Amino acid sequence: MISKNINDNKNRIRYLFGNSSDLVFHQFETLSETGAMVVYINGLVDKSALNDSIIRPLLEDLISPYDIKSTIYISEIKEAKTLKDAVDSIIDGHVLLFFENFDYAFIMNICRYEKRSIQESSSEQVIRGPKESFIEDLYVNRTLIRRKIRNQNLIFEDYIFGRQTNTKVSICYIKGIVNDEILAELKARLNTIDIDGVIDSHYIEEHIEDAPRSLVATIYDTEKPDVVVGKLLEGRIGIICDGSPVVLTLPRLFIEDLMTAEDYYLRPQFATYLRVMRVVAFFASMMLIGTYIAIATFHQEMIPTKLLLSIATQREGVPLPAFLEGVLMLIFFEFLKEAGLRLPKPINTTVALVGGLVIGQASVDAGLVSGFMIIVVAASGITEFVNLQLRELVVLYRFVFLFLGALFGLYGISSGSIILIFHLVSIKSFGVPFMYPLAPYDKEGMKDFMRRSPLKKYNYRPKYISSKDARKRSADNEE
Amino acid sequence: MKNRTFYISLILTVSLILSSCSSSRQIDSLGIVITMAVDMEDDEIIVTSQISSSKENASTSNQKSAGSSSDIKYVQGRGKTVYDALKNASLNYDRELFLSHNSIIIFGEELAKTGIGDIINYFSYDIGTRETAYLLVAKESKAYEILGLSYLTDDYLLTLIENAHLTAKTRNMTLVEYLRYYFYSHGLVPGVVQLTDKMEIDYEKKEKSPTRKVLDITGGAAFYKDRLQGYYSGEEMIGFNFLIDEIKRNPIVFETPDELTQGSKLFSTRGRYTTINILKSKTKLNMEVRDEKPHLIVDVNMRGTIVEETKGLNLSDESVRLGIEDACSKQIEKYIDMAMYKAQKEFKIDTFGIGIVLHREYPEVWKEVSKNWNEVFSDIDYSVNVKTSIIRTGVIDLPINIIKGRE
Repeated sequence: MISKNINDNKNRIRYLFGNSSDLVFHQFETLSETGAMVVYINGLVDKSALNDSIIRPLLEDLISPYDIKSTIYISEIKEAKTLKDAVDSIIDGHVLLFFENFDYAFIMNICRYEKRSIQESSSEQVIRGPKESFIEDLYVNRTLIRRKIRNQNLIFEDYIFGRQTNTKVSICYIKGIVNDEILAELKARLNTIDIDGVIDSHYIEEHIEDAPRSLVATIYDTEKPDVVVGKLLEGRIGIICDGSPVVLTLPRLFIEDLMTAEDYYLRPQFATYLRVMRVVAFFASMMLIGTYIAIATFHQEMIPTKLLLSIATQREGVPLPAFLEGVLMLIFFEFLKEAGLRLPKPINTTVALVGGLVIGQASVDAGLVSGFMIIVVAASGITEFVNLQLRELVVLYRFVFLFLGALFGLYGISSGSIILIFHLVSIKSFGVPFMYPLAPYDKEGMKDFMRRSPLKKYNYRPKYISSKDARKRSADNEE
Repeated sequence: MKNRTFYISLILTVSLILSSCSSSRQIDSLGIVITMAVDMEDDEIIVTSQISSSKENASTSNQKSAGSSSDIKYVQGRGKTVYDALKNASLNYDRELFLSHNSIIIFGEELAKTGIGDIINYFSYDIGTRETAYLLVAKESKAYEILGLSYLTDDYLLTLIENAHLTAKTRNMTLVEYLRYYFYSHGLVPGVVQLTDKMEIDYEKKEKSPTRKVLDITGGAAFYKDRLQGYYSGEEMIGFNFLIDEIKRNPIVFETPDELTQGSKLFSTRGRYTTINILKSKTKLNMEVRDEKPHLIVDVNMRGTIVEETKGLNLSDESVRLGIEDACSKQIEKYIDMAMYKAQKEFKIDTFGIGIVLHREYPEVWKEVSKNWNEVFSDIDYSVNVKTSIIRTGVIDLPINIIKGRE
């Protein structure tokens, strides 16, 4: 309960906050000489608004605390009856106002803190289409979505996770489009979360995903509002987490990894071509090294004669068997990648230069590895970056295929692929088959699979994902 | 779930063990055989392999030009069987011979005459051999003499064989084709390869001398079953290829009929020949029984274009075109006659598969004659109808002698 004595309140709040140094207590007397006190956390509130809109009217105009709403210039004033409410609102960045002889406090929202401005996404750049990306602030992120869907059916629901961090998390969906079963399932899973702190949206993802032991992610993440909006319109649900610029959407399908936002801003033919290239790159980055080693050590008769002679020439004098050669180069490449990823830009150039030269030229000249292996490793390295969403899967399975190819030849490669396919078709994301629309096959869904059909052709939203009324456009306009 | 994992791994393990596909070889431990020569001396089989050696032009010595002639190695092994000889080669060569890329098998003439049936067995036995390897007979020499020419790069001989369609004067026949034809006992005509002298002028000595040996694949080797009977010459091979309908795009050269040039006042009329390049040719063999004797009818339907004409003919004249077509047809008939004569009178074997046509059209007659078909074949009558149609004159510009003649 809030005491009528200001000093009493002050001491109790100070005690609750453990005498934290960023807490500010400011005591003064209003025009009518009533004792008053504002409490806030330094840095979370707008100081000029505090001075001009709260303190000044109180000092100059306030006659009775009961007139407060007609005196100060704040749009959001609530009353706190208990000390717990009061403390919670301080943490949220609100200002508490106490009056002498009042057993409740006023909570005023003039919250304002430093945040990053909205910039172009660094991980999902596009040439054409919206360029803005999410920032670390939940409220701004919600606005970014709201501005694109001007519809009262866009719903945000708030949750708070983290025993210590009390992080705000919002789920958002479009009522009428969302599949209620998936929504209920998501809510059930969210309610089981018991976690100390939520620092990034990935913390939520790991708690609610379907296949935590698999390398395949069953929840999609993006930094771009237009991507989220596109997914919401298909009936997916978004999860926005305060403090993270990455927004999750679910359920996730395999094909989403091979799509980019730009697919829908380009001509359908070209977008289709790009998707085919991405599929090729996906397989190349995963299986190229393994297949090369399998063919070069088990199935030399499969290589065209001239190519074989060329490989044989380069292999001449290389001390390592093809398998070790591949592992060596691949590990070298991974080191180089990892080093280059987090270095400051000026050093990065040096690393790239030294790494490129050492790996590319010197190791061939020294006779440590064959030139052909360098090409294969480089090709699978480059193709890895074509599908960034699949990187985790590709990098680790590449090693798996490398071992399989070296141990069992093409037999190993094909059994590895079969097991991978088994795995992919057995995964579900929130009840939706991961390989939809390929397995289970759906003709309507195939319109937006490898082939990106013209937008006019999409008459239905994806089956399973959206609600039963899946028609996108009125039947009269159907093509 | 556990059950499923167990079954999947069981299936994978079983198929791995039973298929026995678990031997890996590093590429640099293999001696990659490009061409192979098989001979027989003193009841011993000699297998000589041309190996594309990569040792000399390894990546560590980049300065050397890749594929230079000295990079090629020849490895010889002797043994009682082909396999034995191949394995014995490892006694004097440090790598395992790798036969999967062997694209040519050459048989020595001596061996071919005694029969290659027993030997060729190996090439259809072993999993490592390539069934599309071309078969050649070394004409008038040992097979290993063919290998070892200094200018012979990895695929020199292979390219020669694969260009056979440019002239139709030779034939490329693969191992698997041989095995197929063997059952029919016809068409067993692999290509030949021969060492010939090439005249080269030595500018220092200022005299012509045969300084260099070259390979020549003109002609074909006629086999009866697995034994070499004799050789077709280059021109006979054109007739042969017409008869078995394997003509692609080769030229036909024939004498230009004199009457076509009458009345033309040309600057030069010394040219004798006209050349037609075949665009498409189709041969049909038909049998008839005339006077209780099989009678062969050969219908050739050929379309071609004039590529060279030296007599200054007025090609836009309809009658001239018809005359040339007629002359061309006669030349093709002549080629076919040559091939038929050789097969009927010299070899006395049906190398063209005419017996099959008879079998197909007159099964009863075939029943009677099949026992001694080659004897019957050697004196059957035949008639040849060639229809040539020239679809293009091929003239881009008026030849200079015509321009001169018209002045």
